[in-house]
This record gives sequence, structure tokens and C-alpha cells, in this order.
Amino acid sequence: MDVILDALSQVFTLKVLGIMAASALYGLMVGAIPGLTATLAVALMVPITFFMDPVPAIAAIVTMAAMAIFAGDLPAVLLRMPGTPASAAYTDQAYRFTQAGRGEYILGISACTSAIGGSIGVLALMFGAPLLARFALNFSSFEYFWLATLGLTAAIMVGGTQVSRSAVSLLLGLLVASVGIDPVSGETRFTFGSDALLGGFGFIPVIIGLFAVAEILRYCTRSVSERELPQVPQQPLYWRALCDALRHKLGILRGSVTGTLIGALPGAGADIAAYIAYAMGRRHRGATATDEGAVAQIAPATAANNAAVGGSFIPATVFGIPGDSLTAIVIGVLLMKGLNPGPTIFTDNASMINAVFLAFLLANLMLIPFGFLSVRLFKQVLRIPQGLLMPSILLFAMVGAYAVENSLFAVVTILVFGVLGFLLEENDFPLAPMILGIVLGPLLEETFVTSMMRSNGSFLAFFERPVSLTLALITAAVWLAPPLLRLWREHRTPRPALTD
Amino acid sequence: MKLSDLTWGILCLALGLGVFMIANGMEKSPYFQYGAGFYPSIIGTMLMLVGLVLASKGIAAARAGRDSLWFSLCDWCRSPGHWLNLGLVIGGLLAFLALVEPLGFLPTGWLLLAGLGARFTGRPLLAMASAVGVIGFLYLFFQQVMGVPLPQGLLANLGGL
Repeated sequence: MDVILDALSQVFTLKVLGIMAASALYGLMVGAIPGLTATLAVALMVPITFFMDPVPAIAAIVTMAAMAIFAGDLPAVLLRMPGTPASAAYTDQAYRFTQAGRGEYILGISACTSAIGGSIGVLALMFGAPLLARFALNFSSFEYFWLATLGLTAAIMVGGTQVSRSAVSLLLGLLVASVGIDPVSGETRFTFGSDALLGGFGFIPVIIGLFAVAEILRYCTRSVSERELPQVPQQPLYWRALCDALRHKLGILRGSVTGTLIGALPGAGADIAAYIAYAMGRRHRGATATDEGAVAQIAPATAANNAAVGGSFIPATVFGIPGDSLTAIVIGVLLMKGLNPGPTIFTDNASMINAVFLAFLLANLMLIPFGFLSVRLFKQVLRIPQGLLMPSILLFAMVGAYAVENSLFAVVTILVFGVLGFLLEENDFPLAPMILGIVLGPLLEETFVTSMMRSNGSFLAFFERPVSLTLALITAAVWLAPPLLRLWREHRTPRPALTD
Repeated sequence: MKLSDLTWGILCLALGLGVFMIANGMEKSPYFQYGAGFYPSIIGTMLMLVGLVLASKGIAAARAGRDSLWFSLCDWCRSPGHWLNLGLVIGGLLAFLALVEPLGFLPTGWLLLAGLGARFTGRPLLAMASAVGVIGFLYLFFQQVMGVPLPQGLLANLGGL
């Protein structure tokens, strides 16, 4: 108890709270710009945290990360341009609310569910960290392979009813991800002699192209009257969003648990968590047809991406193993501040690490007021005439991509993928499977080839370990359950009697 | 323009075949059981399979009269104005790529914004004025706050900004 009281006294000071508020505004601003990620926001802030004490330094970082991940939803919902990769999973469905004048409502839902999901992730970090970290460390290449396969299955589900079109989109994503250096042998492939392709296509320019540039090209094909249609006045529906968010407690809990578990796995992250939680929500009756169904699908995904941030801190604090680039930076800052990650951190620096966790919890709770404030400010963007807004977004996207890659090749990438995304959507191909193919491609290839080498080419080895067998069965069930259920329903439906 | 399932199927078949052939032609390292081409050759095979499925669907749809055999023209395809808009955005991006290093980010970005804004709004003065504000904000945020080194171009000779 003394440790908690000590931790509370370290967090609730004017200095720490002021730094957290400033970091929140910075995180919201960076996350709302298409292409700029939470990791980039944190990386740019590290030199400033060098001059801070440990608790305000880590509090600033976790606040920025939580806010930036939520802020990715602002352009995703209001402009159909995901600010961060984690928002790409539900962009299309959420944008439909904006077209109906209810963008604020879905962003209100997102702020609440992000706060709840993030808080659950932090509570899991505080109380279940050692147990979850041990579970995650038992994963071998076989389990990761099945996890990636489950994610790709989710991609097909996310894609909708046309399985063959989703499959094409997914395979294109896997193909794009395979460009560059082979992760196992280190040989180059599909670079066609270009040095710029050695590192493969940058993920951020690719999603900016697929969503932002493709949307601008679509805008070019609208008639003058259609162009002003998206400027629908947005109704202020915060309180309704707050109440409605709580109606989906089970979905939010499921999304939060999924996000925490996936976040705890090294290599997985908020974007994978959001896709899987979104695909799981698709099972909800009428998920695509009604607003209620759409909320039931979006709420778990927005909870999952923030919960994954807490989850990713589990292996980072307990074993010093970064789950993603964001936690890698956090480990660096922890070390810089004399907090050595590892099992002993909970005994040697108990009050300080608990203060960090409390600051993380507080950052997630701050998402509701700061989230609502940012929605009010960002929705003013919709008042700008589309004819001026679209070229500005194009230049924003180009500079954002350039900033991430520090190369003009990023601008070439957004152009190529913008045209590709436009062509695919014009022909009813979903983009979500392609994005997930790009995210999961390297993990799938590495784990598949490594597992094949370990098993000497035997496929049976993929089913020998209990966890990998369980994941394989879940994957098979996701594929087989819908057709089997359909057959069962058809069998149960009484056939009309034959008459003469 | 909407391509039929048959056309998409043939495109997927061709792409899959190309990927498969390139992947199979990759040299295999003596130190690894599976070379760099192993995984892409699986992707190529799957693309060919999905291409076959799409092509057969397309033939069935064309036979039943539900879809055209190769492609159909959408409404906007018949309007030269829409093609001009598309050409301006794509051409603008290409021009930006060609000019940003010699001219610098500020003039090139302003030209892109003002040109597209004037075309889309039909109000050139408003587009030019708003382009100044947007380009100024982008410059301040990315160059000054985020520390991104944007190309200086001509302005570098004026002492840099």
C-alpha cells in the first residue's frame, strides 16, 4: 500500500500533470496527420525527455503514445484517411458515419473505448505482467505461424463476402511485403536493380497511397454536385456516444483482452490487434448492415489497438524484450533513467515503476476529455471547401511520407499505391486484406520458412505443440464454421411440400 | 472503367505466372534449405489459382448476361473533365517529384496547391491565398518543429530558410 501511495504522490504533482497535458496535445497533433505514427511522435520526443526526471519522462511518452493511437482515428473517421496504421482496419465503416452526419458520435465511441481498452491493457500490465510475459515467451515459430495465419484469415473475413476478391487483395499485400531482402536467407528479390527497393516498400507511404491518394483520385471522378456531399454537418453526440459505448461492454472487453494478449507478443502490435478484434466483431449479427452492428464491430477494434500498447509493455518491463519499435524506444528511455527492465524492476524500483504504470493509466483516462476536445477541433476541417482541402491533404500526405522515409522514393510509393488503390476500389476489391497482408507478410514468411527448416520439411510439426495445435484448430474453425453452419441451417429449414 | 472478372482473372494469372517464374529463377543458397524464391513461388501459385477462379466466374457471368466479357465504361469515364482532374493530380505528383529538389519545397508545394485548388474550386485567387497559408504551416511544422530537412532548392542560394 505504501508503494502505491508513494507512486500516487509522484504522479499527482503539477509538474507531471502539466507535462502529461502538453504531451497529450502533441500526441493528438502528430497522430492526426496521416502517415505520422505514435512511434515517430515518441522518437522525436526522446531528446526532450533526456532532461526530465524518470516519472515525468515516461509519463510523457506513454501519454503521447496513447493519444497518437487514438488521434489516428480522427482523419480515418472524418476524411477516410487513417492517421496511424492501427486505424486502417475500420476506416471504411467508420467513415460511413461521417457521411451520415454522425462522425462525432463514432469518434466519441472511439475515445471511450480507447480509454477503456487502454486502461484494461495497463491493469493487465500492472497485475498480470509476469504471467503473460512467460506465456508469450513460450511462443515458437510454429505458434507465430498459426497466429499470422489466423490474422490472414481475419483479413479475408474483414474483406466481406467476396472471398476471391479478398484473396486477390491479400495476395497482392503478401507480394508487396516480399519485396526487398528475404528475412531468412538475406538475399534480395524483386528489386530489379533498384537500391530504393532494397528495404522493401515503406509501410507508411503504402497506406497513405492506398487510402489518402486513392481517396483524392476518387474525388476527381465525382461530379461537382457530388463533391460537396461529404460536407455533412456533424451532430454533437458525445453523451450518446458515452452511453452507447457502455452498451457494448462485452465486445469492448473482448477487444481489450485480444489487444492485450496480441500486444504482449513480440512482433505483433496495435495494428494487428485492431484487425483481429475487428474481424472477430464481424460475427455480430448485422455487423455491416446496421449502425448498431457497425458500432459493435468498431468498438472492440478501437479498444484493442489501445489495449495493445499496454500489452506491449509487458515483455518490455518484465524481460526487457521490446514487442515493437515503440517499446524499444521506451526501454531505451528506461535504461537512460536508471530503470533496468527485468524481473527485479518490481522489487528494486517498485514505487517508481508503479508511478509509471499509474501515469499510463491516467493517460488513458485523459483520452476521454482530450479526445472529445480534439474531435471538436478537428471536425472544423470538414468546413473547409473540398476543393481546397483535397490538394492540402495530398501535400500533407506527401510531406508526411517524405518525413518518415526521408526520401523522395516515398512520394513515388504513395503515387504508385494511390493509383493501385483507386483501381482496386473502382473494381470492388477491398483494401483491408491487402493492408493486413503487408503487415503480416514478413512474420508469416519468416515463421513459415523457419518452421519448415526446423521440421525438415514436415508439416506435421505444425500441429505437434499444444498451443500451435489450438491455434490451428481455431483457424480451421474460422474457415469451416460459416459453410457448416449454412449447411446445418439449410438442413433444418423445412422444404415446401411437393404438390401435384 | 470497370474490368470484368475474366479480365481480372487473366491479369492475376499473368502476374502469378510472372512471380512464379522469377521466384523459381532465383539462386538458391547452399546454406539454406529454402531459398529466397520459395515463399514468393507459393504466392505466385496462389495468385494463379485465384486468377483461374475469377476468370471462370467472369465467363459464367458473361454467359448469363450479368456482366460484360472484358470491361464496361462507368459514368465518369465518358467525361473529359474527370480525366483532366485525374491527370492533373497524377501529373502534379510527377511534377512535384521532378521539381522539388531543383526549385525547393516552398515554391513547388505552392504551385501544386494553387494549381489543383484553382482547378477544383474555380477560384484562383482564393486557391493561391490559401496555398500560402497551408505551405507556411507545413514548413513550420515539418521543418521547424519536427526537424524534417525539406528540400531547399533555389532558396538555399538565398541563405536557406
